[in-house]
Amino acid sequence: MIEADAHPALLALDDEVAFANSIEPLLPIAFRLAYGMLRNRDDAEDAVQEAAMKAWRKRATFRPGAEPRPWFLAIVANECKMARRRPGWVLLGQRSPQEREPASGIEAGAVERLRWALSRLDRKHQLVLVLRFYLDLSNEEVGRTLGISAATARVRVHRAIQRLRPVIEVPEDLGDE
Amino acid sequence: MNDTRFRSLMHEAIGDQPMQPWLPAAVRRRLTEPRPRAVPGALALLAAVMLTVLVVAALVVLGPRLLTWRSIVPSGSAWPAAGCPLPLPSPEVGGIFALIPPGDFEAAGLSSATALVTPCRLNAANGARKLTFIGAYADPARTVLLFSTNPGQEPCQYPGQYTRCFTIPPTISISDDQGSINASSSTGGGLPDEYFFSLDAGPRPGADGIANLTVTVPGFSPNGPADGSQPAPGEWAFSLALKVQPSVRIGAVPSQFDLGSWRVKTEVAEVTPSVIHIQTVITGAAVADVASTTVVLLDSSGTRVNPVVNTAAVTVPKQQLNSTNDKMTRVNYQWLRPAAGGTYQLKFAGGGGARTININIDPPDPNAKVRCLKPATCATGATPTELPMAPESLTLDGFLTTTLTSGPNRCGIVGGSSGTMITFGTDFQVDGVWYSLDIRSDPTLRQYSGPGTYTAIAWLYGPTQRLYAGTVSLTVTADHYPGPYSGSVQGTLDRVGTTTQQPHQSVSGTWTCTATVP
Repeated sequence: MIEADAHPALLALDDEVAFANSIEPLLPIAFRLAYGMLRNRDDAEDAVQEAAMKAWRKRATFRPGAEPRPWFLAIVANECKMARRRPGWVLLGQRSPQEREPASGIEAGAVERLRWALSRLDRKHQLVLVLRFYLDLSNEEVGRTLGISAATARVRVHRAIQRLRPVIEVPEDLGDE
Repeated sequence: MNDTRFRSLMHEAIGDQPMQPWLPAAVRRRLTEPRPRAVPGALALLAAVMLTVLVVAALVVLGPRLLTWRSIVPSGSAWPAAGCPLPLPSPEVGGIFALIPPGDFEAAGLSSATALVTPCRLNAANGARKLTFIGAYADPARTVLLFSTNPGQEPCQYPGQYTRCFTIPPTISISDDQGSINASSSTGGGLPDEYFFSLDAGPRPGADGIANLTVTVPGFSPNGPADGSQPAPGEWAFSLALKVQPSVRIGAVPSQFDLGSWRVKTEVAEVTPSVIHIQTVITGAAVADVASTTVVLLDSSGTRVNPVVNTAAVTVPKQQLNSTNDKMTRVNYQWLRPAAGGTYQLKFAGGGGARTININIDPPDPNAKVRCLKPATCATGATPTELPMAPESLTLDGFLTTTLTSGPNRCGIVGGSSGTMITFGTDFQVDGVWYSLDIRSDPTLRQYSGPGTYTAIAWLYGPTQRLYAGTVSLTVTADHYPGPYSGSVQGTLDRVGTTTQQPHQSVSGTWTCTATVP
């Protein structure tokens, strides 16, 4: 779960030091997003660092008074897309060494099947599931991160879930507020 | 299933990785570090052109040396205590391969001399960058140092690349009791965390055959901070006593001979445990007159053997060059020691003349190579007996001629930067020797999207090195996770290793496999 205080109220754009200070509370969730998309700690750390640099360079696109978190997560998500184009392979449907056994009460087979299904999802639907169910963002914030309305985000979440259905049982209303 | 349960499932499927505590500091450092000034357009273009030329030149010179290899994690227990030399683990747990990944030997051209590498473990750090010296080898032709790094724990300093940009400094220097050893050198490796440094000259040993070496690695400290706070100043210097492996002189090469208008004086013609080494001084030839074809080695089938060292240099310091000695050039050629003995042809060409010399190369001393008692550790990184058995009907013809009806195998559908591919691999024994066949569909030609026929790349590995590689046709008939997957394969591989003289290896037949979960 993401800490409730992981929102900087303002984004300081005066200089690099102030920007670094104000962006620091966002780094844990940024790392989680990157890890959720890339499934590799090294790649996720690289992506977050690169995203921070790009955020500073693109600071003119930040609307004063807007929430910094969706703006920064969007940059991180885009950086993950770029990172996935770089050389390197991950085995789909298999556990990385860091992944542990499922917690009690969760069927190991379901975890495996979901992992497999996630790995076969296209990036757009993978991203929306990671934002909604791994970062636990609301549909509204998913929408703000993706630059779409909350309603469109909800539809996209549903479509992503539908794509999981051949592999894993999930109810129709999953993801509704 | 409700939202909460699905969230739990997502967390289990993806895993929870805490952010490393150094990451905020790394981000801060990246944001606040001075950035280079903008360069005027024309200057930038000129710089880009020069950089391109340098890169191309480096690739031409170093290309053959930068052998790629597979990621193989040594199995067995944790690293032993630091020191040099380290005691060797027992063969049952992989011997030296438990200390040094087998790919290191291949990358550094030491596949034929694995038993002659001294394993070590000495650590140094530069800020959060950690470097470990893991082994060394020397013969009269070359001195090779093996290193590994800790890529996952270090924010890198260089713009544009971070965690994985770290490599060993190219300016490592080696000296022995007689002073610094001056020679060309190269660094290489295939993965971000494993490197070799190879000096194209051997150390000068004492009467006991042992050379006392001092290795200096700039920018590192044996006790430097590992928290990423500040780079460690100074140099990391460590000493080791290293046996210089003996070489055998190639008597068939005359001490001097005429080559058209050139006069060739042989300084060294020898076979070491790792290379064939020819060094001559050519009178009448300027450095620019010497080409890559001046000295060529052909195997018994007439195929040219690629040199790993090919240098030409003046024989005196540049300040002492005059109209006489600028026409004297020292050439140094090295070829990896072939695993098969036989008659080879050494061809000299230049000065308007040519000369061919037949030389007999003995097969390497079998004691120079570690006999792998745990073949998976040496070849594939997974123990064959731990992999699931599955029916297959694969016919091999060529270097290996056999039919495989069942084998420990592995398969999976893999996603990466180029897209999705399917992989299949099987391990098998022929005459007591373990081999590994790996096949991967080529996503650059066609993304894997389910059953069908794909163009694939296949490799055949021997106990310690890649033997054959080629393109095959891989047909997948079933891929429902977790399996069984099934399909067929058909194709011919070409020789890439040095173990065999057979030019081709064909593979055909059917396979089944259960997706492996490590």
